[in-house]
Amino acid sequence: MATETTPSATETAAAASSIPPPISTLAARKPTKFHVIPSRNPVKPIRTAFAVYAPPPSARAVHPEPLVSYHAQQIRRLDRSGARTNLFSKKNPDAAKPGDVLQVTTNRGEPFAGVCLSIKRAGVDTAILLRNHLTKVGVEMWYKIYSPSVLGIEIIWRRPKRARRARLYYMRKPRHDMGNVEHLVEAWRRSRNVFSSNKGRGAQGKGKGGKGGKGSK
Amino acid sequence: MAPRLPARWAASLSSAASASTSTSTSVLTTRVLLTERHALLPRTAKRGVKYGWSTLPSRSRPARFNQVSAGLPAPTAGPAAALKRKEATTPLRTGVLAVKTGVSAMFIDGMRMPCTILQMEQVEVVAAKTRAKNGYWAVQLGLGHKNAGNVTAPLLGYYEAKGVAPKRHLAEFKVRTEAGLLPVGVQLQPDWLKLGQWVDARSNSRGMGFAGGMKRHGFGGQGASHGNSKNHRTIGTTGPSQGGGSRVHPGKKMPGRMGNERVTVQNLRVLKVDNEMGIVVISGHVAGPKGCVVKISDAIKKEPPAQTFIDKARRILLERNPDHEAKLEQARLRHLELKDARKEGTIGEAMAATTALATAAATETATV
Amino acid sequence: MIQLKTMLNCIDNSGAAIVECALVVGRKRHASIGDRFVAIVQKSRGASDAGMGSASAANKVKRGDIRHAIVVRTRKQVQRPDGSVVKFDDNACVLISKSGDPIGSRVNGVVGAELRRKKWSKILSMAPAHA
Repeated sequence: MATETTPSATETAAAASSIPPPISTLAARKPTKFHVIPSRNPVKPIRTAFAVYAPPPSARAVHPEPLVSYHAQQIRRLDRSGARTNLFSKKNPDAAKPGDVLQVTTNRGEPFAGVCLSIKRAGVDTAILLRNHLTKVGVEMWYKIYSPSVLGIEIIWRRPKRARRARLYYMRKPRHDMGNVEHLVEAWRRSRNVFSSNKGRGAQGKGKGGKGGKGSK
Repeated sequence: MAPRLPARWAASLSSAASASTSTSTSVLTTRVLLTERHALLPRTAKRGVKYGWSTLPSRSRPARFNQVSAGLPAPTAGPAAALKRKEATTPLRTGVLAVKTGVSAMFIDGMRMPCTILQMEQVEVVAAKTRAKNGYWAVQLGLGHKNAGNVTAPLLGYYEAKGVAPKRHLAEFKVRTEAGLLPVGVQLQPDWLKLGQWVDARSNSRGMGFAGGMKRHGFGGQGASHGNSKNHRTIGTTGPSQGGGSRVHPGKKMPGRMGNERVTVQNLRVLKVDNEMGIVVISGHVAGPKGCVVKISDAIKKEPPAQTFIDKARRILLERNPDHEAKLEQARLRHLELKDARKEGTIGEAMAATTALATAAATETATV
Repeated sequence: MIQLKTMLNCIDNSGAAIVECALVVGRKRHASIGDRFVAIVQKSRGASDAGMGSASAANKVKRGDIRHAIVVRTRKQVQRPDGSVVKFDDNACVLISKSGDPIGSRVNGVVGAELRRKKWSKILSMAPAHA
């Protein structure tokens, strides 16, 4: 199984941090600290005492939240430009929000467009839930936004008013269902073609171009 | 349990007897007074708790029979046989201790692999258990740090003798032979594990508290209707009636405390090791809540990592802790001194002397 | 999660409209997309409600027939190796013969892409869309 390797920089850093102290400090590491167990006898206040040695350097003190560091590291690896993070960041006012219509381009098959019902934020495991109607059948897809098989995510249509729920599961009900979003995708594609008509872009450049455009906004 | 070895004086008798049969009687008579009915023990203070113990009958000991030396096959039970039997499933080298910090996913070749992130916090070798002394080979590891005030006096003495700081958790990892042991006081880093190797993860599962039969053992429960009265989730009958014994068989599954028991998840991959953060990422999930202690060891049902890697990891470990022998020896001597001082009640003076020495050394280094 | 007594839409032009699961073939538990099961035709496409025009005359199956079928859509979400998940609004199937060939000649609706992994590419190629 192919896995990533520890960067050599970290290894050297670790080696440097774990290099033992020289002999002069060895004496300093001698048990100068004592743990005294006192007694109630005023004549002999110390019942007993034990030498206590200093603990080795703590990884937890330096990295108290390894899970957060892990997420950051993996996101750096999978999203070098930061576009994916930015598209769903809460800090970004232009970010995609529940209720928007998004299109996900994957490395196989046709791109899937649908209204975003929910965004599950979980570091590198962050995912979006899209809903659409294909051949009059409701289809819902979860996509991991940092997955390498997801080539691009584009905002097709923005909901005019902010959704007042974070999870729009009520849109599954027939009364609230948006139905097929194909007309929105068509409109978006036409408008995009107008803007980028001077460049004859290939089909495979669509996803990346759109994504980059969103990221640079 | 301690091995059932014969007491030292008896062992010496048998060894002397087997060594030379002609002189055995003379050796015996010099040490043990033989009478018609009893073999009296020597008067020298050779017995006692300090010199081992035995559950055998104390005065009539078969010394020459029922042994391999008498031409019998080696016993199939007992400590030696048990070790031999478990040899194939005992890892070659020690595993590591780590704290579960959470679960996430890793994308590998376009595939999503769920993973668990574990942190190795100040993992040090605290002791080595040996066949001669303890009956088996094992490495005792300590994890984390504990305030000395929260450690009992006997354990403080234990850590003092080892020259390591008090540990939050201690755990043993059995190893196959003496070659798997590690020197006391060395610190283990995540790169002790090879990237991509198979490991087993042992930890205590999340405690569920007192749970009923449906949740704890998956019982079916009872009907919601058909005259059922207040027995929808009860376990029903616990055994046959008269004719079947009219009793509940031992081991009957019943409501009780669920979870918080040792769970081993076998054959997980090591996806990532990072010395700087001290993390080990392994595929899949391990039992227990965040913050629980996990024992990660080489998988017993898969091939261990290559011998070259094992040797390399060991070499790197020893290079990172070059003065471990000196430190241990120093700590041992210091412990003996302090122990004597404690016995004599002069520990206060010993402490004062040590601190004075330290300050002197500090000033000396400062002046240098 | 197709199990005994589950009612599914039949989305091919074999003539069946709704079928009931009688047995999941080769699985201990429920069937998912791409799994085979024994179906009982509960409702055949009549001349009035069928949107396939003249297909009603050539109904290959009728009510009460017992055929094998392949699940092509499930309400239960199906996870894929890359972490994405697909979920449909209904349970649907395609009837096949014992030898594994589709009975109908057309499939009218989206099907799950899991069919390819489960070696039902024939059904997948007949479908107008897959997700």
